[in-house]
Amino acid sequence: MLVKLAFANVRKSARDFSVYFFTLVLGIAVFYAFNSIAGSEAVARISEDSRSMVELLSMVISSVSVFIAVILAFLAVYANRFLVRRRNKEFALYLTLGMRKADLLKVSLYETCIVGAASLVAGLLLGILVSQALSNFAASMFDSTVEGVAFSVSGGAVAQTVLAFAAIFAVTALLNAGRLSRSKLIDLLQSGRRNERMALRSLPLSLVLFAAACVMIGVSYKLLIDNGLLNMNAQFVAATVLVCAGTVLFFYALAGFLLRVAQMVRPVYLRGLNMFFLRQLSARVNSAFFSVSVIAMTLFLAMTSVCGGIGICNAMSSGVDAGTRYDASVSTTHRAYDFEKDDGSLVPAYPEPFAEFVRAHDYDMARGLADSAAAVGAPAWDDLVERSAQIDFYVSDVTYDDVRAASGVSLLDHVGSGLFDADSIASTRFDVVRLSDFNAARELAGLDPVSLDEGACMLWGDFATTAPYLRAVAQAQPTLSVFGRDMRVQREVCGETLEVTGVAMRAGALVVDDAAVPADEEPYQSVLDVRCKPGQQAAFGSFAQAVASTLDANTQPVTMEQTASEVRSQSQGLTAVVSYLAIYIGFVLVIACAAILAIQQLTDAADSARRYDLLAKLGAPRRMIDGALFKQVLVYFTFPLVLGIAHTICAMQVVTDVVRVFGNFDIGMTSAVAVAAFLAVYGAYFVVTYCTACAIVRRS
Amino acid sequence: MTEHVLEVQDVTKRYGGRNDDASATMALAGVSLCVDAGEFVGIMGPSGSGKSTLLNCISTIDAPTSGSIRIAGRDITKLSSKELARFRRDELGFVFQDSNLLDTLTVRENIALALTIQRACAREIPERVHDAAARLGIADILDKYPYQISGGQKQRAAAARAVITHPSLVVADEPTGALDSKSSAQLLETFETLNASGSTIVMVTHDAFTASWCHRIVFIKDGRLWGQLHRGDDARDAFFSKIVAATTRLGDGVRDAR
Repeated sequence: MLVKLAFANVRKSARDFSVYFFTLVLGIAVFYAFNSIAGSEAVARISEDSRSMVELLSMVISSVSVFIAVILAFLAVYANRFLVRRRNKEFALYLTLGMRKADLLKVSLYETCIVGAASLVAGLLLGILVSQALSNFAASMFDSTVEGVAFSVSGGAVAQTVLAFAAIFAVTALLNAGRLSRSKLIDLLQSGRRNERMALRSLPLSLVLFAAACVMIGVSYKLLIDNGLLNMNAQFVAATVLVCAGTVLFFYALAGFLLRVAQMVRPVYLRGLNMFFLRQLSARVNSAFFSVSVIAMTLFLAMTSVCGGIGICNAMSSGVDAGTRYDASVSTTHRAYDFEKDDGSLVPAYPEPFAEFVRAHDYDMARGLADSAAAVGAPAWDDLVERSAQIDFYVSDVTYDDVRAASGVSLLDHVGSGLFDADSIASTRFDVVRLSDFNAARELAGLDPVSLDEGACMLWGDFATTAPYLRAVAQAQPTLSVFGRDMRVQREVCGETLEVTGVAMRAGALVVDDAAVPADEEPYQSVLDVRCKPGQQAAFGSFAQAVASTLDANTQPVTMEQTASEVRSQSQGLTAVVSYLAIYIGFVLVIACAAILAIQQLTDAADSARRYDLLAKLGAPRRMIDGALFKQVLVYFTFPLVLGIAHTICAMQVVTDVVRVFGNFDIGMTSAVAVAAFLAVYGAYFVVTYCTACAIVRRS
Repeated sequence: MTEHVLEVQDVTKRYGGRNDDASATMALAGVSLCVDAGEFVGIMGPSGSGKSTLLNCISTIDAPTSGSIRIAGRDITKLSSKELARFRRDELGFVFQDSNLLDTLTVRENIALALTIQRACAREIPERVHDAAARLGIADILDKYPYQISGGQKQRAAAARAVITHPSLVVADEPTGALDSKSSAQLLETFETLNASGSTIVMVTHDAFTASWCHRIVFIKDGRLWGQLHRGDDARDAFFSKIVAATTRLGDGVRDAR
């Protein structure tokens, strides 16, 4: 009997349930689609070395999914609360007809179950469809050799989704039951008749509150930009607290502020329904300001994560071309920083027998590697390698502090704060590279050689983070003392990456005349750039790997080896992981925000239907009423977005510094794409909300 | 021929079914009446007589099934919905049973709303609102919200909203329905004042006391005109007695019919 009633109820108020249902279906679909990527047929077909990336992706996604589930739970509870509130009268009717409260709770529970089950089925079906597109796309992103499409359903992801949403429904039902059992009949009967008290403040107070909110937000921006993203200190906490408080206050004061400002401009206020629309806004502020603030912050998080994510991808893929100028690079670190002594001295990086081998080959890596081939059973060097060029890196006696003293330019002024520790950077030394090594590597990469002026040196660095600093130093053209010789820094700076690497991180080196490096000076690191014989890149890779891992002391010690194709596939994989995550989080957050706004506006329209009806009776034309609705929905959708974008722009200033660690990227293009995608989703919700609101008002 | 402000001609209103269908309900079965400029006319009848349907048709909220209704010389049954909105805005003033003031707006703004919808000149609005409020004795509550004032004050504010646009016809639907007798009397005095200063008022009521303020009462029963009472030079209490007598006979008629 009760079940039948519950079914009838759901059918009857299908329209009211539809927003709740729609939101759940979207949430479930997205949740399933992303969680099913790793288990899908399409991904199973991609090659072995790319698959580790997919496993990483699925691991990250499943931990992020906990966070997403919490958001979706909040959304479900919120949507459900609106739904229940709209049906208070109906519940009251049951109670007056003599239904027991326990039975009412059961009916409400059954309804939750029915809608939950229906949305779960619909959501999973939609999710399975979406996941096919997503996983096939993922497969092609990780491994371009996969052809065709594969269809699959991931049982694990289905179980995960059902479990997560069963928990969400349980929470929703529990909260529902709690609210219903606490509510009194009279409140249920009269719900909707109670007016919200207007919290209308005086003109000066509205202005002061609004100004205070803007100041708080402004101060928090300044604190954040000064402090950077990586310093988790009191200043960072203050910036976070201030921006949250400022946002809440902003929306608390906004309606009153708009109203008061409009009232001062009489021709605006006393025109058409402006007065009505502004009053309507400020009447809702008490119930809406907090949720709108949360929405603004959530949009901010979503945009920042998407912009940051796309920025990282952009940065990494922009570095790929620069990092794959050769077929492979092998590096040997001879001496490393002594962290035990921590006084700037270096210790040997490999055991003595290896050192003998290196010295015997006079630090010549090509010769060393050629002589190692036999030991690891690899083909002869000449069969693998066409040409090679070696760059030796020496530790100079020039510290960043010396450069600051000579040029007046400090590294700390040119990088985001928090990235470097001021004390340790002061005593950090510049690398020194010989011009002939440098030009040989350039030539192998097909780049023009550089020349040095008489008694001059040149700055070289491919680390995006320090690039502005190097340019500033070069601009100042200071004279530095390198190995006892005074040299002027040339105005032009080199920024090319001269090795095969996924992340360019040469912070700063001085390219000097060969004669300037003392004959007895030993390099602390050598990098050998290799151009392989046609088709031998993979063979060279495994050869270098074998040399790196062998314990035979009669071989070249190798610290790192990378081939161009490894770098490419890693970068592709990482790009895919990061962009998937950013899209996943961003999409869910935007959907959540837009759904909450839509629910709010539709409820508001339904609650205010009587008012709009009166306006129509007073002779307000259809277009005028629709216009008032439009403005109201617009304000609700625009202001959180605008504030969220403002926060994002500020946050991106510091996020950019962190992202630059991965390489150079074009934040303008990035944000344009991200913002366009956001506006599309958000705008779609806006249009749907406005049209539905018009329909609701018109129906009355 | 004098121009009538309101001219209802043979209006019928049928709910459900076709003409010959037994299930159809005739709410109005051919009603004709005229109201001249400056009149204060009451429409009375028992519940279900069709008086509210008639008022809804006159006030363009509902459309008659047949017949014509002319207000200020225009046949409102032939207007499009867009023209109707404009017509309501410019030619009609409403006073409802529950004052129907917007709870989010102050009294001042509620009254001004009728003008802003008309897109009246913003400079004139404050003065016109104040004049109307002063006339109706509510100037001191202009900055209060509807929930802060009494039911009688709300109805007078609604009356101010109804007349501020100088409509051809003010339509009042049971305006005293939710008021105590003292507030009712005050409101009706207000109507009298408005009428004296030129407003034409049509008021639906089932209350003889309220009706006794009118110049003329039109009785409706079972969707038809049942009779009329002119006040003439009668004092209000004398007119009241006549109305009570008439409503008694009207009620008897209902019993006779059974």
